[in-house]
Amino acid sequence: MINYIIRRLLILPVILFGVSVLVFAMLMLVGPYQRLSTYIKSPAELKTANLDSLVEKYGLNDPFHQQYGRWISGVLKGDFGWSETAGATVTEAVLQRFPATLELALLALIPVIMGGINLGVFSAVHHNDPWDHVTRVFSIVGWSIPTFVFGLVVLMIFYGVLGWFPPGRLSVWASDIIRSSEFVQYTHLNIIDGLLNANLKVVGDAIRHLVAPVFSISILWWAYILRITRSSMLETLRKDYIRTARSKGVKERVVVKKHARKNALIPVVTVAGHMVLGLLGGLVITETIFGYQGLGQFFASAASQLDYAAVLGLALYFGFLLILINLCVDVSYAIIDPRIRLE
Amino acid sequence: MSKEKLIDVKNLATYFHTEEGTVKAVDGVSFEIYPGETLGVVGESGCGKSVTSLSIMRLIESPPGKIETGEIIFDNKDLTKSTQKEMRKIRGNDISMIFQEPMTSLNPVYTVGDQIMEAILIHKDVNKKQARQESIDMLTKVGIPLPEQRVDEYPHQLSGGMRQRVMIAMALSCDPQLLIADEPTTALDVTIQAQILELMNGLKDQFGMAIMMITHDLGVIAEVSDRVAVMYAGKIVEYTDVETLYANPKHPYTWGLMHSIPHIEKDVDRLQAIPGSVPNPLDFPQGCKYNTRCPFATDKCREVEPEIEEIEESHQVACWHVDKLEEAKAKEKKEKEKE
Amino acid sequence: MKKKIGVLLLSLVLVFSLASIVGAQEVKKEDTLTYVTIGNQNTLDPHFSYDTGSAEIIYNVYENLIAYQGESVTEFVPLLATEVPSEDNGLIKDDGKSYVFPIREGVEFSNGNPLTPEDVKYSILRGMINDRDGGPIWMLYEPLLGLTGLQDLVSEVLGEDISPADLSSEQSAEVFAELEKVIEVNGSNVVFHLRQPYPPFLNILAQGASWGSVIDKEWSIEQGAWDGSPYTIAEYYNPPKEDDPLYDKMMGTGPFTLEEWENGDHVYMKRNDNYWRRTANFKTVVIQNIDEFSTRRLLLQRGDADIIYVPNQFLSQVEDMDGVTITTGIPTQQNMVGIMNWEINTKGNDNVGSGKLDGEGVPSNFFADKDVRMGFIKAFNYKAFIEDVRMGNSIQIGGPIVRPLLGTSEDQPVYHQDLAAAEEHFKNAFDGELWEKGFQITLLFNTGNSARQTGADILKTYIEGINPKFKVDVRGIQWSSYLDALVQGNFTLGFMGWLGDFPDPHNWVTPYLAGDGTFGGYKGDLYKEWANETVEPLIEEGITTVDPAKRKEIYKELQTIAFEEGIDLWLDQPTGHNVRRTWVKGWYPNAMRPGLDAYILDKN
Repeated sequence: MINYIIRRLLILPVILFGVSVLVFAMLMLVGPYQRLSTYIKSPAELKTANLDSLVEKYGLNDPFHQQYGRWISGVLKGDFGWSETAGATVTEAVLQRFPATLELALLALIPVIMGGINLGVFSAVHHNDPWDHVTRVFSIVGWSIPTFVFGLVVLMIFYGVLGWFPPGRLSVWASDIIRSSEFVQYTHLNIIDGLLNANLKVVGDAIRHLVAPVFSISILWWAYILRITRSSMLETLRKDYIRTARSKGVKERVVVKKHARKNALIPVVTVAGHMVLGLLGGLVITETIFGYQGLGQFFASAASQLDYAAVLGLALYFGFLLILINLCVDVSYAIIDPRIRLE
Repeated sequence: MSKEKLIDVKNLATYFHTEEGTVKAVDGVSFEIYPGETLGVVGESGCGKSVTSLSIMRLIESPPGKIETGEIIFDNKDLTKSTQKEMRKIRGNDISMIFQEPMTSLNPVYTVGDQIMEAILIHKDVNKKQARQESIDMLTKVGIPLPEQRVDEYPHQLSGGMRQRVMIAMALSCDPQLLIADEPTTALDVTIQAQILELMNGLKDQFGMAIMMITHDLGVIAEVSDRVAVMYAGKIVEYTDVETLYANPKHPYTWGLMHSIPHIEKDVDRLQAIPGSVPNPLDFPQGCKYNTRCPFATDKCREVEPEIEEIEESHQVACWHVDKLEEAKAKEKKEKEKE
Repeated sequence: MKKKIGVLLLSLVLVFSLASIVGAQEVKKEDTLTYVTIGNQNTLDPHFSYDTGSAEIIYNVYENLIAYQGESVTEFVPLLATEVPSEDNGLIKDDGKSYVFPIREGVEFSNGNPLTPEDVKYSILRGMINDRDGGPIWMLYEPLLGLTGLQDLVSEVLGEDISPADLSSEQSAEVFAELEKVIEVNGSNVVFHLRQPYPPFLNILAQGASWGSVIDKEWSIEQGAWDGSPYTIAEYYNPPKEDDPLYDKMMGTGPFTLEEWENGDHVYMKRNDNYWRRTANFKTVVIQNIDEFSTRRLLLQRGDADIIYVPNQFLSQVEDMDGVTITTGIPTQQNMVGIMNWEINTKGNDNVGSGKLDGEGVPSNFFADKDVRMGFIKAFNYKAFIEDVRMGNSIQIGGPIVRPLLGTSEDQPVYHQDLAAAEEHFKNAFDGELWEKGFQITLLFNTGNSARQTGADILKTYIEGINPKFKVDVRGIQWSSYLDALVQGNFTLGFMGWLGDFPDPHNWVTPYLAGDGTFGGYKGDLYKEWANETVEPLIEEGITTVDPAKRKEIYKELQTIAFEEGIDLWLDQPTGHNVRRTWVKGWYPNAMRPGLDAYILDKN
């Protein structure tokens, strides 16, 4: 298995290279004046801007390999270019937003995985009971409600009416604290940093701002994982080896948890992989509604404003994540199911 | 011989209440198994033999299945009235079961040893180390070479025959009094089949247990059974010891089955199959359920269902026209003699 | 076991949440002003900034020599200067070619450095050397030198078209010698020398937040901005934004200092306790960028935001909110106009169909025909637009110049819908050929602006109603494609707007009417020729005439020409509004203020 992992990791740069060429080619389809719009943001700036010399200056009309060559040579030195939309280098921009996205993702995973899988198993075991129907309805509703509706409703109720969970990542006073010299930002994940600095107020404030967005995100994935787990469990419970286990006198609870669940998890792992990828890629709508500066918003505005340095950098980030997560999923399969052998 | 019955099934009826209607899978079945003997249960697919065995183990999925009436007396208890908790003490312990598909009957994500140990740890008061040793011993007993290695392997690493041996090891690990074997060799090659049957016979003596051998294969029946129950459409139609059954079948169905086996001495152009097919369990014919295919069927057969009756000692048959079969058999004999 | 951990975690979360809810109440809210708006800031360098997002911040941290008085955009008060130069007090001399500003004493930058006239001179020269592409510094070059930028000056001085980035030290010194003439330190005064009189010069210097800001010479040099030497122009000319040392650092004399800037997320400013006037009422000013209106609205409702940005179409959602004050009808220096291209590129242009007058498209000179223009103009429904799209929050304009500037008046003529007249015009167009054959045209609008989209839709509806052979398509595109369309000459008729740089009619007629104006420049040679003959001489005269009465006449004439010739579809001048919590006191509007003025406000 180690060999397999190493091989997959070695191919990583090749794939990323391919992705970058593809994305770059797509960006090149857009004319040079259009790409100039990243720098010229409004008609007022047209007065003193000589567009043709700007195109020259940024090399927007150079042949593909030259433009690509410039970019890739920068990348190999660790320089991903300057992002106009973020007003910072691409590296800085991504690193700045990554902790926020990571924090949301990690916290969303907890209810999703624990709640989704457990409820899915529960639902399958209580197949066609009233409880099963309740969880199925919940699952369909959760999956169908558009995030922007749900997020706004959550915000309106829990902030607008109750005032409990405000938008944004931290209150102003907490921001002051973490920026001060007494506070060390080890990870830029506010909850962890708060704990490491033994400042419970900051931890509390961070949690308070995270509850609503985490809740909005997790409902959707929770519902999905629940459905997948449920149907996978139902199928697994029909298998012959379950009958065998029962015939040995194994307790039903053990049959479900030990014999059925492990087998049922394989399709769930696949979905979980997608979910992690989606979460770490950032969630535009949730971030917009809750005023969270994360990768999703960045990705969306970079794309719509043709901020090509950022788009390329983010494409690489995403490609990297995708490959890594797929690798983890494959390895998980091999761990769960001994029949799967990774050569 | 008046031995203590190991298990006494009286008038067992198990129905399945589906949306399309009620399927009377087992409809009034009675038989006994004595300690140390092999009872063969033979019949076509869908005749209710598996459901009977699952009913004994109380593994019928409920809903939609339900044991409607009957008693299953084992160890002075009526199993139809036992709780699941009580049944769990019996399963794998006093009564074990092995199944048809060794490929899918073992859990692919746990080792062979794990799965054998599971039953041991549930029913016996031993620690893990001991349980593991016992598993290895069982593997030896069922004839698996290099058991210390095999015990840590996964089912997919073993062949079909080996897996069935593992199933047997698992079933016998707690020294049960009764082993229910539901078509254990059907999915195996003929040569392996013979090995497994031999193994089972040997272990039967070794462990002193009874076996309920369920199969559709008359050859297997002949090989291992002491007594036989022939089932058709949820009922037992003939019930006697194995020699009598082969020498002197009294039910037209049994007789039909015998005739459909090709004989190595006979030279036939066509196999004599029983015409027609098993009736739809949602739509059983009135009267004797075999009347749609029986060459001797009369109006009475089509109106009233025959009860199973003892026509000679230790030989029960459910048929109105046993005499007609005797006539047919006599005719056949005469024709054979002519040749 | 797992269950127990789960329960424990959950209860921890709840406890913390509740604890933090309680803890949050400790903060004294009167100390902080929170303003929530959309968008982000391009830069914090006043010589680079040409967008309102940046200007908003710069306005509160930097100061100019003079400022507008209260709500006026024509009256000034001294700020870092002690007097506003005028003819009367003798500080405007040489027939309007010299402006003398006595510099206030005792003013310090927030780092303690004293403000001196040297800082003022440095600020102006540094801006003019920096002169970034597409930047605002033309507004210093035009009044002071009659040029557009440093490139022009270099070409003038050296006689060659060398880029300022390629100047050798000697060449740099030569250019600098000429450049330096525009500003002089004379004792405690700073004197500006203009080559020609430029009436709106004070407006340019007063413009809050930008080119007129005074930066600290010592501090700026420390950060790596122009070192003050005549030999180094090439080094400091037009750096890319990321290399600009003042991109994200600020040092001003203003009432606030920059505390933290996370572009696109928030800006925190802190009170400058060193401020030369009374210190500000707020210890902290928070500007948050949240693009989702519903979220902003909730923040306002809960009082976590004191002022929020509300787009016109959502005003009704805040009108009935408790404890919220709304001021509407605020005059702005903005307009919306339907620009018509006289020479549309017909090669590879989807917007012109066949590119010919054959009923399947439009020819290149479609809008060069006055009857076509007037047909479009008379077809538009102005009333509906102002009432339904603007919700009544705008006034019609009668030309490029907006009120209350010279050349406009309360009773100036404006367009009205007259479908019969429109029909007449179309019948006359192209000698009657147009009416016979019909046309097909695509109108573009920049997505993200519903007023422009609706404007285009209104035109489509009415034009198509006049003659079934007239087919109008409306298409929304991103700014990037819009820019491309402009440059390639692919646009036909597009609704665009202009935000005034300074409140003088010159800043309105130039972009729309001049042949090389921001909009005029993209209408093709046919237009340039016409403009050259008719309006450009007037524009030139207007900016060089000092007498306000004469200027009024000139601009009135320009306005009339534009109106009668139907150069563009002059539409409206929207009014602005402000939405704030009632506890915010001291607010008043000013059309030239970029956004928030945290100094004038207070909370009780």
